[in-house]
Amino acid sequence: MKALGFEAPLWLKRTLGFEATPPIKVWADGLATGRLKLKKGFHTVPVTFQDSCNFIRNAGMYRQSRQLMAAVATDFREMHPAGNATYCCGNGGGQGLMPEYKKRKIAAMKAKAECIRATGASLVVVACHNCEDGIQETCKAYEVDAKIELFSAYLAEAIDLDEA
Amino acid sequence: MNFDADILDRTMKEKAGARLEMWLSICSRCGMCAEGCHYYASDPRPEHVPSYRIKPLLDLYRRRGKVTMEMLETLRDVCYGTCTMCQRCTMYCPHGIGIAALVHAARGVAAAMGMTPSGLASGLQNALEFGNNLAVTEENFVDTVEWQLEELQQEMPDAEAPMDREGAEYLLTFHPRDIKFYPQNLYNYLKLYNAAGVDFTLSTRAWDSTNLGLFAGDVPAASRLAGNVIAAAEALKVRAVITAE
Repeated sequence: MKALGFEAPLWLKRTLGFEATPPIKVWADGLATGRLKLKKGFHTVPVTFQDSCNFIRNAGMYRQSRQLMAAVATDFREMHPAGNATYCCGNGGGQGLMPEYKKRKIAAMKAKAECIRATGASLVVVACHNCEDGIQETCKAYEVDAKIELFSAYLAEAIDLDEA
Repeated sequence: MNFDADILDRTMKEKAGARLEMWLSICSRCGMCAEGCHYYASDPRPEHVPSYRIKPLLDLYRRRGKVTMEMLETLRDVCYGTCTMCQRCTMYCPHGIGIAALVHAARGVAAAMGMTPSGLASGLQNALEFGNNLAVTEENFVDTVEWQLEELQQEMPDAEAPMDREGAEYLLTFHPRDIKFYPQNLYNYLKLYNAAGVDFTLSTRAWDSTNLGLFAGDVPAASRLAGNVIAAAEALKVRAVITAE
């Protein structure tokens, strides 16, 4: 999102013939128009959401992400801080590929770990692959008892095929 | 260890745009950004204040011509090692200084000097060579899509995964691990877009929209990687590209 949506026009010094769209926007549009049928209240496990830097803070998908969560989750719990002000998953900027800096990375995940723990959620939904690894490492390093699931998987499970 | 002073000089001149010079000069080290950083929140040390991260780059500009290897190593460790470029700190900066953009520029200097951390460098090399950072071949990609589509058709008989279809509204792109390690992810995306009746296509030549050039700070490489997807999207005349992350 960051590369194609925000930086590429600057790197290439031209406008692009298309726009870059976060998947969350397409799913939320589908929900709003009624074309994407999700089973209301399908997920009952206490759940929180990791707001990724690019989809949420930079591409502004906070509202859309919560509309989707509200459609399928009965026990949604916000982290504090959440949305644009949430802490980074710890794995952005290629940190997952730089083992030489891993110790510092893990040390810096403490703030996030306490945010997740405080929600009491047993599942963290993530919208980005870097966040998926980051939150996994965070929970493991700080013994937070929560599973991690990609947003796409979380929503795909709740699709109502009979209604479609 | 020695470094090529000409490359350093050229790179720093290339990076020195108005935005970068302004940001470097107006940061007053007020420290408001400290609260913005998860490195600082987790471990409050002075070197974890985001404004500290622009110091090594500023030092290079101030000491132009008298740069030491030690300074470059500090720049590399600070800019790759203590920042995720999440941009949270910018929300707390009274001037709205783009620290992530400055860290990106500093990484770009290190990258030009051949100092990109090796894991990042090898992933980037794969991406440049194969069009994706896990070196998945086009044949593997097409096979994986067909396989997951067949699986999906068990529960959604009308599901489709059109390949290289010109004029579709969206071009769907992925993280390479969706294809190589977690094909279930691909299944879920196809399920969502089919269920929502989205008019989409996939591209055989550009399906990885991640960009390790961005992380490395290597703008020429990042431009080439973005260029792959841009060329495919424009040739297919899609309205939008759905990005992976």
